[in-house]
Amino acid sequence: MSLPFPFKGYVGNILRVDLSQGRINDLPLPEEYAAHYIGGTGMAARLLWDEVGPEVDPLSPDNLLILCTGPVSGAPWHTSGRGALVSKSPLTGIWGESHVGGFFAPELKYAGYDMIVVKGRSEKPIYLSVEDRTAELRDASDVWGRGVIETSRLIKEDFGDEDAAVLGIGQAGENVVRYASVMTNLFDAAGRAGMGAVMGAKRLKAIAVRGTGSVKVADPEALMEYARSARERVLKEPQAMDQRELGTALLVDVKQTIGELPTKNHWNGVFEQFENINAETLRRNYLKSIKACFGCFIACKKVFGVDKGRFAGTTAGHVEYETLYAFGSNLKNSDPESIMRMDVLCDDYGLDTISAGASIAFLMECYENGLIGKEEVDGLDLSWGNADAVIELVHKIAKRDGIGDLLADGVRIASEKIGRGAERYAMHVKGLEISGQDGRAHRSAGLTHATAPRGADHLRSLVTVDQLGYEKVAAERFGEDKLPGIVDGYSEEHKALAVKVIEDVYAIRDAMIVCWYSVSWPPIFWVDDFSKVLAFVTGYDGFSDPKDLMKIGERIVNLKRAYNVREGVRRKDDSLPERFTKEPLPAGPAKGEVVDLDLMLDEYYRLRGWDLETGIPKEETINQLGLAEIAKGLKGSGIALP
Amino acid sequence: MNLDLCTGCRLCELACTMHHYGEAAPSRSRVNVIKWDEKAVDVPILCLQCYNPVCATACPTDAIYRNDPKEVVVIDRQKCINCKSCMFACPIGGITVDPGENEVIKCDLCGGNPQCVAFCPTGALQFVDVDKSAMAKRRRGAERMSEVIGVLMGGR
Repeated sequence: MSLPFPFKGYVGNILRVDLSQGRINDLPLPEEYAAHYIGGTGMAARLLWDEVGPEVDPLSPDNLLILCTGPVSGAPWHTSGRGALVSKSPLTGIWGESHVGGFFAPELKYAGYDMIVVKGRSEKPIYLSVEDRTAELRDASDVWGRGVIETSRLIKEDFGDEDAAVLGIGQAGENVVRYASVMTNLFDAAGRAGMGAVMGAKRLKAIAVRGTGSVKVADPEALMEYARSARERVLKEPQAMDQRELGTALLVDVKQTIGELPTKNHWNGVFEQFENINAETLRRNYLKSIKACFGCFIACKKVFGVDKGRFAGTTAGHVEYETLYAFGSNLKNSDPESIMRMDVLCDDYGLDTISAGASIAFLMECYENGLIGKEEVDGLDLSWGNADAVIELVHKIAKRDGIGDLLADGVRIASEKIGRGAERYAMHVKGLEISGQDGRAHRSAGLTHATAPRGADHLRSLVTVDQLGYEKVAAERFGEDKLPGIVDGYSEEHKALAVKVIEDVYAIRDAMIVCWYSVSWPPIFWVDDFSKVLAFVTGYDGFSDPKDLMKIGERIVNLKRAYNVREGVRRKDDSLPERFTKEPLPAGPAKGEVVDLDLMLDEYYRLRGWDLETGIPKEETINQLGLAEIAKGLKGSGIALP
Repeated sequence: MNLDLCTGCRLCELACTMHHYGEAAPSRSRVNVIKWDEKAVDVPILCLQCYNPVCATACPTDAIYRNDPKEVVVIDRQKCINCKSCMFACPIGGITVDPGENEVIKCDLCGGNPQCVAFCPTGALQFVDVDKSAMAKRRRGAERMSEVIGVLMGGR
């Protein structure tokens, strides 16, 4: 019997699985890592740093797949249903993380584990079954080759408990599509950076968990009192209630108004038929029910059903803004029912909708410009907006069939293979396809895409308060003196500061782990709230001062950066496709705008204490953040620290 | 209970076990949300405080009782032998076994201020007088009908 973990909130155990050896064992959660990185992707970053170096191919048995929770996961706090997957990404070759809601993370805590760390590769398809501190590997040959919905049902049957939480991959992960997602609760996706491909390469089809244990908290009364006030704050925030009513789909209108609705492979920022795919159209015609993840007061998830027409019978869960832009405006597709069909296909195959849509947009633009002909794309007519061709391509990508095999590696590799200048249509940073923002209409988003540790990502540092009418919140978060520049989305002014601060705060959010919504947008909870919640949950005084927490956030950001630096990432990689820096937006409110990335990048590096020329964190910076071991590791890898 | 408002967030379960045990432990909750992912349907199940509680009838030691039809159905811990007859008798699963203390448990309405209701974000769970609740339900039914009538009457 080991000693109980010194901080509450955590359960204190890591489940280590070696698929090559068929070995499973329990390890204690390292206490010093909890104090240093909180948990979630913060702690997972340290584990990945420790064990997965530059020599490890992301698809090899030596890569780790880390399924992490944080001290707040499963605790009685708003949005405590979040968990995350961390691995070296097969899409980018660098730091990879992907968060997911639903019910899996709390169930894992109740089953007695804070984390699952998987290494190796199984001979035959297997799934991992976890029930109250007992785990075993079970044969999954019968479910291999099946989609997420069927897999989930069959695994629950085999596991023998309807209430088990299942997390798994579809055919896309099995076929090692480099942006395969990991799905849970049928429709909730750990979408980005190809965590599903890592599972597929390991021949790990799914993980099923059931737990009857508990998450204990340090100060139950104070926490519940705070949770009560949190409920009021969420319910009286109009944008949170809009989210419940309309979901993230409401962003279609918002982005169109700003001129930031990516259209035709990010060529434009306005889409003429945007009203066909906006939240109001979806709500009016297709809404079946409104759902929430574990412990959430908002309930942003919508289930849509198509009753008539050629897509009749389609039930699509949680169709997000990112999917609407990726399969709608960005492909000039204005048929919402086809988008729902594409969404369901992606969910069931286990494909990231952003990267899948972006890959198709890339191919369509190559086709439009004659870089690739009809005979090279299996005879498909890849004209913009051809929904049937898009659906066909989704099938082909998941199966790596024909032209789908090219797209399944993402736009970076696909553009290199096509050659002929196709790179100019490949909208990615560091190999990750660009999400549904546009730096030309939202300058901070340009910097976010360029600097985020997993590539062109919006979730690690997207500043939302600079464009949605949040002067007051912006003043609170960054200082009154930064107005009005900081809330001007079309200007570079103060955006480096905003991205830096936000990135540090979100690193705390992703270590706790709580949701994007109600922290990032709408902006309700912030560092003061985190410090209280973490103190009430864990009882550890190292988390109770917002200043200390900010330092931890900065530490985590620098650790992820160090990881990427060790993989070879430098300033040249913190870039944007030329479309964003050299091609002015052709229409809409942001017409004529481009991003001055270098201006923001210089300022960002200065604020971060990173070398302006190389983008490598200075030795002094790393040491000040209590990361001396990391500095030593970098130097040991032959990297000179400025 | 307004089932169409339940989002399946399970905050009721957390509020319940925090109140009763000071920890987050859905397996110890007196209310559980039963989920059908494929149908996107969620139904909270808890003791409905029946007027004629079969759990009381089934109890071999007369440990389950209520003082007044409007009051809560109570388990007398002194008399209860945890035989689980009540659990088997209840037609809706209103009684379960707490894996922590290994005793049968049911909703006690938190002494009159049910915490599941206090935390429910949508009003799917409400603590109201049954007569008022019945009329409220009729009103919602009537609202749906009135929408149809409105369409038929051409909005007049």
